[in-house]
Amino acid sequence: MSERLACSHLSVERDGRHLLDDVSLTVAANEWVCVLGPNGAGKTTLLRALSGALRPASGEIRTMGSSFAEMRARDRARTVAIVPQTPIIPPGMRVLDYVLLGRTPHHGIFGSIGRSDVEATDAALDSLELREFATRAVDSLSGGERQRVVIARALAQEAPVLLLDEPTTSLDIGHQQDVLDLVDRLRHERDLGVLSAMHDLTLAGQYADRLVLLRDGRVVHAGDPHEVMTPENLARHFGARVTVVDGPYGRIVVPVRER
Amino acid sequence: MREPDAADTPTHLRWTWLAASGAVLLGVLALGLAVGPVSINPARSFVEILDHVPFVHVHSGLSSRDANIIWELRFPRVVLAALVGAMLASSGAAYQGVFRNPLADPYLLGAAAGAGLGVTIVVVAGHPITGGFLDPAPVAAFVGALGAAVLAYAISATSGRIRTPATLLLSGVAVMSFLTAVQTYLQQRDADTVRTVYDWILGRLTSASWSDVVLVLPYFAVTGVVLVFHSRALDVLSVGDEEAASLGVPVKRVRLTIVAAASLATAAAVAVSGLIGFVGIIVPHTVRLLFGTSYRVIVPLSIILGGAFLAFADLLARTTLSPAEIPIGVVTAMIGAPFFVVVLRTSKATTG
Repeated sequence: MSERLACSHLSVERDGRHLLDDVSLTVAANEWVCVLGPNGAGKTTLLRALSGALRPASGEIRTMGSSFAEMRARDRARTVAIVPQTPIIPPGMRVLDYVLLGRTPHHGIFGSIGRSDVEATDAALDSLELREFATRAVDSLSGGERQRVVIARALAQEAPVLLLDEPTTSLDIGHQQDVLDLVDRLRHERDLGVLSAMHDLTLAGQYADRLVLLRDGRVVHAGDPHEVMTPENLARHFGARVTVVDGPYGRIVVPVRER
Repeated sequence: MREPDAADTPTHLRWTWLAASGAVLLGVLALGLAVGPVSINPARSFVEILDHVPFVHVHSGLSSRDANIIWELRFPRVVLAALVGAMLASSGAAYQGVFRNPLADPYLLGAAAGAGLGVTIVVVAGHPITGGFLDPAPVAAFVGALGAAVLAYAISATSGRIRTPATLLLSGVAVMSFLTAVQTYLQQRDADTVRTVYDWILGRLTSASWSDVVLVLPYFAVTGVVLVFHSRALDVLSVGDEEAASLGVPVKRVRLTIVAAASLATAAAVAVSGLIGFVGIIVPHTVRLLFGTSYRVIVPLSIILGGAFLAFADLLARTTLSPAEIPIGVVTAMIGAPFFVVVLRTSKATTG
């Protein structure tokens, strides 16, 4: 399996506190890894560090065989694209122009926009069936459409690694499934390594190839969903009372009230 | 794959827009040359200007008095107004982009007041405001403008968790009030220079000469080039620092470069023309409304149409109450303040 993204012994500190402590993980091509964990476990911090937004206190991040520390910001952006949890949508910006922003690491901040940039933007729009919205303002779209637009921007970046921070937040259940099916299709089509932070355990259990369970900035369990997503683990780390059922595509977590 | 139609391509600067804006600018400049207390044939005025182009010798047929009015009074004045308008409008656009705030403007941010204080200090210290390549006035103005813009931003960035476009503006108003107070104090303390400073504050376009044009021209060229080159960066910064960084933009360096260029443009404009408000709000927003939200369009067209706007405002300033003149800052404020209210009502709160 070819490695797309890996970090080893990664630590991030703020104000003398460890937000991430000795985290190691790998994501291979065409693999979807989900990071789970209770609130404040460090999921978003991990994704920010892996996207280059945070400088780790120690440890190493490698993508496509190169070390982050030795790469220019622009080259990092060509290999790792991130879909933030709450992206900032510039008022009035059209879908087409927003998706084109994903081309920044390719044309550079002074570069002019060329044919390849327009083509990659068009391909991303077509791939996410956003053609009809191309000239609409992003901030006039519904939540589900907007999430597709943000994913389109990340796709236009043409990076082999895609990070998604809570991609289903603020979507209704149907749109949650649409977005995850979409990501699943894209990673097969484009051979992407996908790493996502997820809140919904059942969705994570059905879409991810592997799970990483974070707590207090440390990896407490990692591996196959069947190994990680057990009632015991969920009780211990989430304080949750659940029953776990095996569905046709993975584990289904059902919350159970206790008397 | 179907052929996308014109509206289906990313927003970019179209030649037709450039040509139309250029035509508007030339039209306003021609009008500015033709209109004045003495009526002079516009076609002949044009020939008179051509005569001053190197290696061109044509005879305009104007009397030497009329030729002097055109070449020594009206032409430098319309050119200076256009340059100042271009610099104020483009720096307004740049501040709006870099601070992600639709209400940012060199005047409202306090940058213009900072530049004003810088120039006043130079005047009070005994230097006349003359032309010249490295006149102390624009340098002092630059230091003041940059300091004020950074101060306003720093105050708003550290004040509270909930930030709206108004927060930056309120800090700007605080900075502006303080700097204006210091400036007024210095100006009143020194009776010898009070008149010079006062005339200059209200707008010095009245006494525009070629030396003023020569003074601002290099600043105009440098800041114009820097801002146009950073227009794509302004687009990317509109998604916020963190996302811009994830797209490979060296955010801090780019931000500092843009703020410095915008402040330099503001400073040079203030040094030759005094305090003229609202140009940086009116022009970029009008361009945005007409041509789209990409800074690749907003910056260059703000330069051209900012020039046209201020040349036209100057025309109003010297003709409305002719032979008396209204300070040009009064004209721009009369148009700009209501416009500002409209922008305020339509802008949304942003966070981060």
